[in-house]
Amino acid sequence: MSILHLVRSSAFAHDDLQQCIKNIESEDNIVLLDDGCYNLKHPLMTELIAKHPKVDLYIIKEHAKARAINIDDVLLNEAFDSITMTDLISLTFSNNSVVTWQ
Amino acid sequence: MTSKNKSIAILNSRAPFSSANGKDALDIALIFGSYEQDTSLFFQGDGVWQLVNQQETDNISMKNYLKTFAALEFYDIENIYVCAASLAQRALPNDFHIDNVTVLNSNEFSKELHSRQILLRF
Repeated sequence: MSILHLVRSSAFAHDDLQQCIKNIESEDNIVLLDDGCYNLKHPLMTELIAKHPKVDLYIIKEHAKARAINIDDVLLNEAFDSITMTDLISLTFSNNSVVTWQ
Repeated sequence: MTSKNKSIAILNSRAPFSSANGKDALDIALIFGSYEQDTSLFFQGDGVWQLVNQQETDNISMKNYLKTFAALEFYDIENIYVCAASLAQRALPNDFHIDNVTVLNSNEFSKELHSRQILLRF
């Protein structure tokens, strides 16, 4: 059973991402949105990618852009896909359940 | 309409007194319980503080909602899981104010969470 994890808070201020990462299985999807976008280069993200290379990672393009977070270099690594809110809705249908970390 | 009941996980991740999250989660659990829904409680991160034994709220002008946890068994909510790593991080013993608590390592905790169809995080 796959879970869609919506990460909405910065790991530099809160421990939500840390808790999220404890509950990841390989078929899960993670989306960074709102202040969650600040986690893009957080060490926990690097740790997560190393531990679960198969997990699909997404970031909401407009939310990153609003915060002047440059997603291009990360996208080049193919670690993340940048998506829109419409894509996010599709993701809610392709996973068994959704949990918000904020 | 016939539909199979869905299993519900309520994930507690906040300490008890600085926000209403813990009480809200417990209220929701009891409501689901009274409708005989398959409900499980999960405690992780600062949420584990909700289960610590011998908390005394008499002098902080708060109602001790933790006492209501004792009602869970009357609502047939028997699956209560705690993350061992979160306890260890906070140097907390496996000493809780309710019985029937299952302490799980991070992997088992995640597996149990994934096996539920609906997740609510507080």
